Amino acid sequence: MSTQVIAVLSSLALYMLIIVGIGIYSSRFSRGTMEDFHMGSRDFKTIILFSAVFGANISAVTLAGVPGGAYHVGWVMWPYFASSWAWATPLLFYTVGSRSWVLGQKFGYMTVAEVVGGRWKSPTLAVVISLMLIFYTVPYLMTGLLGAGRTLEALTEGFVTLNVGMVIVASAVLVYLLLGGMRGAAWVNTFQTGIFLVGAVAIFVVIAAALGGPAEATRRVMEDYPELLSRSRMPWQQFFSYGVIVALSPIVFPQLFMRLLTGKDPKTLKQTMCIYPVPAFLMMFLMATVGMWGRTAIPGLEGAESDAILPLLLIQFTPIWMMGLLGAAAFAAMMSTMDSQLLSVTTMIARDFLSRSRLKDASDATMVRISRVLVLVLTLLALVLGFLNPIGIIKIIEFALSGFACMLAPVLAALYWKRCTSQAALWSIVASQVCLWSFEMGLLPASWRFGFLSGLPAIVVGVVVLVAVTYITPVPQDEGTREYFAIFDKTTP
Amino acid sequence: MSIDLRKRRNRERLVYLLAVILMIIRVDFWWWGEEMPLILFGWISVPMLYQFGIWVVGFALVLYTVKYIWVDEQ
Repeated sequence: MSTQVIAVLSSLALYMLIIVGIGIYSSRFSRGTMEDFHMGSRDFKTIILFSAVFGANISAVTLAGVPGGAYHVGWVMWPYFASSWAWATPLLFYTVGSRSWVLGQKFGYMTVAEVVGGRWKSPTLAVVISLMLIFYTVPYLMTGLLGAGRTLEALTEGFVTLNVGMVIVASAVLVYLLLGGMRGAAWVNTFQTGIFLVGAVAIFVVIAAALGGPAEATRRVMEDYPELLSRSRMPWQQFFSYGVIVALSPIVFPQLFMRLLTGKDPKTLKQTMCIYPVPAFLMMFLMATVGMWGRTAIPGLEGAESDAILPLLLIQFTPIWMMGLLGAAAFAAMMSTMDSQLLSVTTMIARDFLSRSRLKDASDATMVRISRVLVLVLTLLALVLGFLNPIGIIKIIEFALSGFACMLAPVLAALYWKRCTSQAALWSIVASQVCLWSFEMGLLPASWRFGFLSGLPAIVVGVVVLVAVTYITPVPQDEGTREYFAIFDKTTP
Repeated sequence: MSIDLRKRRNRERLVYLLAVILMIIRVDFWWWGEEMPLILFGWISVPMLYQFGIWVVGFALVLYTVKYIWVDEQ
């Protein structure tokens, strides 16, 4: 076993021990109720809430996809995210989060489907929304595991195989989720967020120094690959449409939405909103810049090979201990997303399906036991999918962000538009998803997109259908609409 | 509707309008595909500063929303 493998395994063992320890400690505070297991009793203060929300949003994409993308297309990868998502998503914490938080306090809601379905007292709409969100979230779980397994395999030079790596990571997540539920996950996320933020800054500083400083590293890019600085490798239509999609989708991620409802009071949400843009910008800027510099240092990587540019740079240019830091940072980013997705899918199944079935009268203790079994089953499912690694699932992930973004219009309508009807919300979802899938599967000609990503026309179709169906259906007279707007009139601007 | 509430609603509309404008003008197509000199510290170009500026204004919208729009709810 080489020194590098020993260094990586030691630091990862330490990292795993710490997160499992936090999980075990958090279980002391468990109250054994559904509210506690799934929502941490809604008493998170700012730092925990920020870490839980930010950790749920930062995934392997940031530490592998962004530098890998910048390797091929250049610095444009940081504004690809930072000049839209980094500020527009926190803005939606107010738009969606403020009213949803109030509903969560009033009715005990935990999921997107409960908030939207509750507006019109429509179980059908709630079930459709929940199914769509689960459909787009489960494949992500699998990629998180795959990403972690591949990183471990690469950092240990194959000593830990892909499948063994996935099992190790899944086991660690299982321990703190089963023991601590949402509280365990949020506390671990606080540690993980610290690790990947520190890791990202350290990686940038060390790589920049090794390449002769930022100016020298960028000068080399200018000489050898000027297209990486001119942005000619990415069409502006793609830049625009992805900006819209990546800004609108995270607020509908079930894991992020749920965590917004766990804030102790509106002040914690506001403070989270104020903190969020800074590390969001920083992470993207640092990772994309290092990825671009990597092109001159390690040329010749093709396609997805460039996703490994960070470990490759560290192996070549930095001391061995940095490998451990990178490993810990990568795992922190991947596991924080994975645990939040796992818990959110469990919550959706428990609340949106089981609570409406014969189990609706089951005690809290029984439902928490069932939730724990669900966490276990979903982890096993993600592992099996990871072992099989089916191509179809990978395809779903390619446009899952657009799928989430298409769900935002009905969510906003439920919270803000009194005239909107449940039929309009339902048909908006159906129409936008059909449009998205038709473009992705080639049933609609690509020329109809005018160079934009298929998510953009799908969002537009969803909004048009929402408005059109609203005005051809009768004004809603249901109790849910009256309840919601009576609450909003009293509590929100 | 009270004057205070009307003020906040107007501010809210203004923030969303500015957000939409920002999302559109972040596509600086007038520089797109052009090689620009690295004017700051030898590694930062004008389009990079422009994109940073978009983020700064977006961040300011977030702070403005928290301070002047999202208030007094219980």
